[in-house]
Amino acid sequence: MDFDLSPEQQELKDNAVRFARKELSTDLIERDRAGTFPRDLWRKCADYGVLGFPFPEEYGGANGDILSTMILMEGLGCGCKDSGLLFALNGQMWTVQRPIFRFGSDEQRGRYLPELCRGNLIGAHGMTEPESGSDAFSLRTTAKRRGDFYILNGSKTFSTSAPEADVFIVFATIDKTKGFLGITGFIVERGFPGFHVGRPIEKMGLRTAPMAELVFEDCQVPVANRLGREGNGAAIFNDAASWERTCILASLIGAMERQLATCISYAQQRRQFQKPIGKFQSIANRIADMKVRLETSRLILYRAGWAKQQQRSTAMESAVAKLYLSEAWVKSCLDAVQIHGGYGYTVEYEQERDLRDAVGSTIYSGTSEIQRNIIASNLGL
Amino acid sequence: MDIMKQLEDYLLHEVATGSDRSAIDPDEDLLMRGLIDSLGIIKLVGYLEATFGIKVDDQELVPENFQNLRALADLVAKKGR
Repeated sequence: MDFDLSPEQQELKDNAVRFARKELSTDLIERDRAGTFPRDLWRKCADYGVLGFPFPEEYGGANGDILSTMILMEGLGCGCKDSGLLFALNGQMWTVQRPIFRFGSDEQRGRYLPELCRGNLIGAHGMTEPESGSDAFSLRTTAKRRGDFYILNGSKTFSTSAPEADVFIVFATIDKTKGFLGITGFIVERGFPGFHVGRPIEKMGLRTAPMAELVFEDCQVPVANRLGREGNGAAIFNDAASWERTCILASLIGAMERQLATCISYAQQRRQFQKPIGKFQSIANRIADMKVRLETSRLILYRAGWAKQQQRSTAMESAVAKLYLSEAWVKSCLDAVQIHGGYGYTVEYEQERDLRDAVGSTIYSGTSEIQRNIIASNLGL
Repeated sequence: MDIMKQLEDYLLHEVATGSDRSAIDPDEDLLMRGLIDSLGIIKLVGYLEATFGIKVDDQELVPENFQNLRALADLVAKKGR
């Protein structure tokens, strides 16, 4: 057992931190306030190789293994304060690129993956509907085969990156009586007849990652754009969710590291009652707890990544990682605000934004409640 | 115990979402009866892999293989060869 990063992994992380500090944190307070998606920064990330990193070279990727991908994300999270941007990047990698890579035909892979990896196309995912959230497979969007097309009718909500996206992975049922085994995946392009992106959705946090509804009104999707087999949609969704749950929070490890350093520095410099506030146990204990959360989160995440790298079934490990990291991040963000006192509540000190962003992490990619259900189910309960 | 009986026992006692524990007809639709749902299938696949030493690929999670007891037993037999 070796708990050290290899020299190559350390270099990967250090370079990512430097890149993110230099290139990805400009004008964030303004962008967050306005809810502006940073397309220029998206492009910089694609050029740096982030989007393609875990995908094969033939599709514009770097063939990076999963642990290295996590370390890359950790570095980005440490150097980049824009959690919305990192969230959107991860959303595309795991819920758009991964399903196409894993379940797509050669033609679909060749057509979409290189352009997505290079940042020329932006992808979004459509599963959640107004009436089906955690109970995702009770979706109502339908797909009826008509000749060389499927005709889709219904709507999706909370689709990350949708206002900017060119390509959408969406799920519909071909036969409601088949339950979740009737769910089928499709690759929908923005220009397909009968499809449009609905109203943007304003959010509490992750405001630089735009979100919108998707509307299908007799939308014509060529049969060639069906993803996988009919009825394979639930498996496609579960595979994407498992990767997303394992990987999307890797950047939070870096963010926790950055946050801890900020809080230590503030507690050493800020003086009250003639001494640094870090000398008061009430402050020092909060920082100690933040350190414990960072270290335990890192171990849990790496273990989940390692298990996935061994190609083991990781339903339990992924759920544990998603649950623990997201809740640890919220607690540490609350501590960071409290340590900074009145300043922590101001926009200028940038602690409140992390807290707003953090709350989303306990909801997206399966709520904490769903993760507990998965863990309990795997324990035989 | 034959495969179909083993699967029936597991479905009725470990996966079934409702209170109906009556015997399952080999051709009875497991979804229509509410015997498996999307969480249950994850549990069921874990059981198949651990008990019969097979690997169920994601591409195989389709109605043809999970619609009824007979299809499930056929899948296990086919994969176990």
